Amino acid sequence: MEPIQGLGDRVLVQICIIVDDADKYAKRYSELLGIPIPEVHVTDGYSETEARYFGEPTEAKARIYHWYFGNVGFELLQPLGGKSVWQDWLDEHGPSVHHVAFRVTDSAGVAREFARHGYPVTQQGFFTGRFANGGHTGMYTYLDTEKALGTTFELLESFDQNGEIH
Amino acid sequence: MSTPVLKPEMLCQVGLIVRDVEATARKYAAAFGFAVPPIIQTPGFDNARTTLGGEPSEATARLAFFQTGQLVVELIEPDEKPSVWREFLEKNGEGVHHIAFRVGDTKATEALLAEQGIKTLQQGLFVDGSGLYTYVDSVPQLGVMIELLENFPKDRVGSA
Repeated sequence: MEPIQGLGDRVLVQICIIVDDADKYAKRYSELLGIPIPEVHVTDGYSETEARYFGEPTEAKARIYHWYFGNVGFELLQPLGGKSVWQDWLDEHGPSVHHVAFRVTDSAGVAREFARHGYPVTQQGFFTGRFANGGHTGMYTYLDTEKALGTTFELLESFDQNGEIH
Repeated sequence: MSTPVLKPEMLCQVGLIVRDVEATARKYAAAFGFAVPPIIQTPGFDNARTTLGGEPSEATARLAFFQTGQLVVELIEPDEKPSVWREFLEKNGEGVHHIAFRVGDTKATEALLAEQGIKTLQQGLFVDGSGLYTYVDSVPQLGVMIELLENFPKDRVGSA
């Protein structure tokens, strides 16, 4: 079978650890790596993200700290309620690495490619925050790769301010 | 305020524990269009100088690597002997076991980590003897195991 198309150079751009207390872990990373604690990012519910968990609308929210370690995004994510793959992960495994991510320019197309390989979408949503013109800034997509590939793969897409108005 | 111990930009690897390294490597190759990588068998104590909790260990693993930009994905299939790899598999099943940072001086880094309550769990030489890996007990504080990777200067290769 033809490999999944649309991943460019197949460069992993992010590692995410799901935690039960983002503030506590962020402080520890800050101390041990000598890096400032970034501004916390709290995502919105369905009205803003249109997030879907296994196809159903969800109010899933998260508290997120994000750094760049070299070129790789490093994310600490604390689920804040609403059904989500994040909460499922935390409940089942406790604080630990949840996903790695690819950057893409066509989430829907690449998600279809993953589905063709037997890895359907589990959760998907827009980023919280908007361009001045009201458009969404980007979206995320989690694929059901954990059982086959040992971890969840995520697609991250940043929209062009002039191209995507929702 | 404690002394920083790790350099963030030295993040270089994400390591996954799997049950069957060949099967998982083939799935990565098929999905992402990589060539199926060679499977690398790590040696026993005589060559790897593996220690677990400071004690010599014969634990080995079978490894496969994929380069993806700054990050190398390492797939690790542990053998049955006690190791940080085996313990993870038995406790968590398959999953991301560690992230690795390059360091210049493993001993100095271990000493700084120890001051922070993070002790060394397992240590050993690279398969070709060209460097040293060190797994530390960072899960309680950082939510993931940290691995330190040190490449020896070329003139020390084989003499460690």
